[in-house]
Amino acid sequence: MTEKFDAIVVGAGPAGVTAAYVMAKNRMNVVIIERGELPGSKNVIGGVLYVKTLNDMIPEFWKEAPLERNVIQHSYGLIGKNTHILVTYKGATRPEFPNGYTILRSKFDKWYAKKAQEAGAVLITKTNVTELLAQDGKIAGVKTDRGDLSANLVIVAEGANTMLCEKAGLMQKTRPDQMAIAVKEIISLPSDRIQERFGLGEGEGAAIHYIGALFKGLVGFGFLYTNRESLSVGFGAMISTMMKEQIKPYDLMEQFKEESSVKPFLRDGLVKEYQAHMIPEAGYRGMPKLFSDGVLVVGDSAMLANPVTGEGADLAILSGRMAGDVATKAHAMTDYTSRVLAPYQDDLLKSFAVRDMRKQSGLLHYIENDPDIMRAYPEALNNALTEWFRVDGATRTDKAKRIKTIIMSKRRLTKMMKDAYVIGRKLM
Amino acid sequence: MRLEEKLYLLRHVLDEESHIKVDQEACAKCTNRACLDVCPANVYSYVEPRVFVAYENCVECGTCRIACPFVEWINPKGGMGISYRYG
Repeated sequence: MTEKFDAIVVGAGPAGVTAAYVMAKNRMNVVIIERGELPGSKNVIGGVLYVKTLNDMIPEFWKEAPLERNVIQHSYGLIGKNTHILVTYKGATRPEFPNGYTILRSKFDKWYAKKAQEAGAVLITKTNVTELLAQDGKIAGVKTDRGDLSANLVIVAEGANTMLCEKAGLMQKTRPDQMAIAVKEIISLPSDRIQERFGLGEGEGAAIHYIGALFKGLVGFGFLYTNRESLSVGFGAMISTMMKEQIKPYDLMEQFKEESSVKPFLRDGLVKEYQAHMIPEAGYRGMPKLFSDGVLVVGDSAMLANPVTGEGADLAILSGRMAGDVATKAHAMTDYTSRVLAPYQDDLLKSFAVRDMRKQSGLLHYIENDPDIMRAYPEALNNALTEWFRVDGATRTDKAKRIKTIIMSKRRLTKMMKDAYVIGRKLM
Repeated sequence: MRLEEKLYLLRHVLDEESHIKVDQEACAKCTNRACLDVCPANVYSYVEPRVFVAYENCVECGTCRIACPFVEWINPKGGMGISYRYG
């Protein structure tokens, strides 16, 4: 292969495809290289695709994209020992102003890659990039298992496994306390059963995030999302805590599905697929340098994920767009050096998404140093409500006293004050 | 549902060559064997005196690579390995 491209994008996930889409729209000669059989073959979503960043680029994309359900209902599940609390927010049904959709990656990624192709990008699948090629001290192409390709610029969207970036010296291998492992199952259920169970209308979706006793010792949480005709159920936890507690992901998955706050939703459902994927949780502090001469890094590879909101795919799109814009400038100036590419990272740091990540710096480590936080509060609240609802001859005044005792017994007051201060400040 | 049954649902394009290598010398001396715990597809098993790698079950999350410095994990060849139908 001797053809030279303006830009090579490694990986046909949302980050890479967005960058390719922007560059192709700006008349650049772009190729996307994907190792899977098709775009999406290797990809897993662990949450909701929030529409904001994609809508900014392709207005009202939801009218054409293959999406699952418009998420209008968000819940927090607090798992106690034998009880649970489910707190549910239900938004107004306004399909014209969606906030987020559940998606299945095999469908969505295929559609999205097609958009980039329609804009003029070339897509090569079933091809694994094994190395970034340097020439005169700058990245100038890629080595694949089907030959070499050269380009003025390479955009790395290789996902959470950052082997290419590491090999090229752009970043260090991430540590177990910087990455989470998530496992998920797709459980099929008829559409009307899903809508009845979650109290949803046609096309409406629900998302539930769980914390509590089940995840004792782990910095992790469970989740449940509704697709059109299936549920996505699973959990994610920091790898360092999985190692420490020596918990096998699939064992915990089975326990989670047996929880009283989860099981009734899954009843009669059939497991269609079991999946696992890493989530970058290195956060703002762990974000590497995302540019060098002839190269930009986007999406999961750039450690863009927000454990609090569950954002990931939309941040990938945001970074892909910013990288595409900077690449377009570099192309116009025929200068692909760091000097021209550096504003990409500056723009990203100024974005709402990364400002959030910066604010949350250290949140996961704070919890990891005292994982009891994840158990104590859900348990205290569960026990408090058990007391509150049970009629046993005690007066309400007595019950209020008992509840105070319950809460104080789960965590020391000084610790609670510190938690409120530290966690509160990082979240708001 | 057992893990084996779940893994059976998955579609893989089998690469005849393993994309995972372990350092058996290091494995023999290893005390915690994180690979046995963290792998969601139970790719690793230990039968004295060595670690066995069922790479054909790998779902390519890469967790083992992060958890253990002695696992040499690379992507399977283009088009091979796991191919999710839902994702």
